[in-house]
Amino acid sequence: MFKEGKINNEEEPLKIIQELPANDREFNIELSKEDKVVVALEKQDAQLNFRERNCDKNTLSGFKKWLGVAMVLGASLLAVGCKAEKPSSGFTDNVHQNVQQRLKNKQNEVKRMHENSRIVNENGSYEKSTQRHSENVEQGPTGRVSNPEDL
Amino acid sequence: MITEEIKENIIKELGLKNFSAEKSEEVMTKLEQNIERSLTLEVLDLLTLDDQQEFMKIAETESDEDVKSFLETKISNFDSLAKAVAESVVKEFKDLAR
Repeated sequence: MFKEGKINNEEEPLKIIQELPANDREFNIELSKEDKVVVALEKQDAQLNFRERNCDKNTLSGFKKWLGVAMVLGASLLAVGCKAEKPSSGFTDNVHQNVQQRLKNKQNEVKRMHENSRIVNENGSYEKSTQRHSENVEQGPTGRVSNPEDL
Repeated sequence: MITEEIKENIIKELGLKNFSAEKSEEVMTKLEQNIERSLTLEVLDLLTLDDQQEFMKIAETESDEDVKSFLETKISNFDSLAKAVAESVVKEFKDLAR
């Protein structure tokens, strides 16, 4: 209830704005970077809240709990999302595989050598083999026997 | 496991370089939670109600490896899905914060 002639207080702000020069009526509120980040997170949060409301709470919390352990990828999902992991991580895996493969090859090679050695012994060629080996053995000036292959 | 180097890369990627350590940590934690929540919702969308119930049973009684195996049988490209969701949430955040 207002008496005639009196100004309605609620209308006052509007009146003030109307009295401002036209150029001053638009306000550009520039948010700081930190504020923008906070607003962005709040918007995401609101969107997720809305989607979560349509899900069964028990199932949701069960999944969240499991995913929260972050064992899904064995790495941070945020790091994955930001592509912050160095590309070398994949390369390291390859290097690891290469090393494992080389080690396996070497083991196979040693195994093969032992196998060959055993076959030679079984065929009675051991003496021949030893003879060939002795041909390469020299006696050093100190009297120490050395194999040139060892030098 | 986030190493210092990875953390620096994340901070750079998200444009948080001028933030205090405390604030950037807070933002990263919140964003990581948003990725997990978003991934949870995507996974739930892809599972039938029966699968969801089966998941709950396995998650309560079996090992993490069994849980992961179960999800991989139901969602063949689970790792790719997780990666896509993570990238999508980060991109959305960057767009909103611009």
